[in-house]
Amino acid sequence: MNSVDIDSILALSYLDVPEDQKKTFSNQIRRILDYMSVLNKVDCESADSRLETPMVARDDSPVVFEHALVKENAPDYRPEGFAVPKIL
Amino acid sequence: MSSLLNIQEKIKKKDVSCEELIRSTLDEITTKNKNLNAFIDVFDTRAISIAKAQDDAMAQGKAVKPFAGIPFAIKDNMCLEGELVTCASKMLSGYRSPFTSTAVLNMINAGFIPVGRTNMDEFAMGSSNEYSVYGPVSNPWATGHVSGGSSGGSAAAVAAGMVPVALGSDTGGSIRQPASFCGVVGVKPTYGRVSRYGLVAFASSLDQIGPFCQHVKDAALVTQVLSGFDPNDSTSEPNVEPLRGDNLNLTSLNGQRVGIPNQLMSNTINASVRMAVQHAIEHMENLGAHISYFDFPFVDEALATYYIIAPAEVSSNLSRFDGVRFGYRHASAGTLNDMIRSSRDHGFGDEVKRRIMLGTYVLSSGYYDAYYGKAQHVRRLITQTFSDLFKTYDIICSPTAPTTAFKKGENTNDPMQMYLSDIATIPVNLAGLPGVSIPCGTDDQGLPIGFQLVGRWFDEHRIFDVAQCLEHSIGFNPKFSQIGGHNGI
Repeated sequence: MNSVDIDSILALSYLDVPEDQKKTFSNQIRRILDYMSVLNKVDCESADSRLETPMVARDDSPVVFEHALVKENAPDYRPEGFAVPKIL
Repeated sequence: MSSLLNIQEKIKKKDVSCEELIRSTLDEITTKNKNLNAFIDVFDTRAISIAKAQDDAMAQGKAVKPFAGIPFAIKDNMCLEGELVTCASKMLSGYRSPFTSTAVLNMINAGFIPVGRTNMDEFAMGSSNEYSVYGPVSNPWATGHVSGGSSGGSAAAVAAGMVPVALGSDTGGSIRQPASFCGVVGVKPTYGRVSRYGLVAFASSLDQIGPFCQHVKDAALVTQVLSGFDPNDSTSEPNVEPLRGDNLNLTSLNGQRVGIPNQLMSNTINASVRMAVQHAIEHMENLGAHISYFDFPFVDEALATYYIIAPAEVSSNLSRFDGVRFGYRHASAGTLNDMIRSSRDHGFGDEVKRRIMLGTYVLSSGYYDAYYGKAQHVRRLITQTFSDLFKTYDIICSPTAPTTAFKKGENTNDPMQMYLSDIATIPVNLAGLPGVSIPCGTDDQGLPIGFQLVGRWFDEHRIFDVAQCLEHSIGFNPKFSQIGGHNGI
């Protein structure tokens, strides 16, 4: 992974790390990804599809949750909602 | 420290009141925490008030909850209504939970009293408890060494005799590895046995809540209390035979078929650890177990699989921390995007950022199939391999960790080395199996060594039965802990 890659991953991750730390992160992630190469040797043809995890998503109805702490935990709560900086 | 049943008996006989017990526990925490940093908060007013109410109920002859008056600690990633829950992160500083997690509620409903929050690696990501915004936890056996992680505060609190029970969460070994390092019993139940509702999500397909205790029987009793179907967790298993932690009765291991993976007894494991584990295996054999060794083909592959799947889930789960509705918001004069990026940059620590980046990378277009898709296939193969192994064996045993507790700072600059300390525990999470770590000896520095027992899905009862039998045979004495004590109980 080169510095261009790390910038693209940072953008996708919604992270913004200082310039001097990018190389450290990049090297560490590269080393971890190198370790992942052991998976290339695994033949997955025999993986039994019957052991697939069943789908656990449900059609739950949304429940309105009201609690005073919801407002207190908000960095900037106003009666009309959560205030954020301008989008553009 | 006395067992839960002994404490229960003393309370029932009124040898000690609930309030006295809670006050002595709070004193013990105050005294010992200066050296350990295991607790980051105590609920003193709340705990004393509950204890007084329980004493009043007993005085009036009302029905008493089975574990009334017994204190327990909560890892800082489980919600308790009205109390702070921060995951040891600046990102959640000041956040108070508006609801209580099911596991904690089950404990409270059984009479246990929450006395405080324990330290942990930030968002449960780490194996040493050095990645905490509150600073590292010290190992009670040697304070210059780590407690293990990520539930290091809970492990140290129980090892030091501050509380008889503490809750932790285990995603890749975060209960069993610190239990091993601190010389206590740690339980990772089968995925789906204990509700995850109210546990701040790290990797949802792997996370599971479990207890730390000083005795196997206590751990079995607490696991029973924690267990049960919960409609609030879609992965909670509804059709499971209830665990009977009060019914452990094996006195021999006759007929138990025990398998040992050769790869976890090789020279990649520290010599002292191998020796102690071999000694424990001999105890099992003397108790009548049939021991055999086998090759487990996916030890390195399991680690690689875990460090793809877990970070992938992290990158998704932690996307909710954006400084908009709750959590840390960095003052930024820019746009919404600038605010989100700078809040995440300043709110998360390095290990969390590393895992978010790794997870984002393996999920990104062009890399998804090569990493995430492949890892999901290997995970299925690992599960399948365990399923086949449990046709031959009743229990699979190994060291819990390849080393004893290492010195603080030894691995913090080498994430890969840190990840390797979970090599024996990670396969268990990937397959969703139950696993228990019990202490089985010490190394030449006097640091504890853990022995891991893994069973079939939802076969915790057998693991506890075998572990208790082995515990009695080994006779490990937790009193050797430097700071450990009896807390007056």
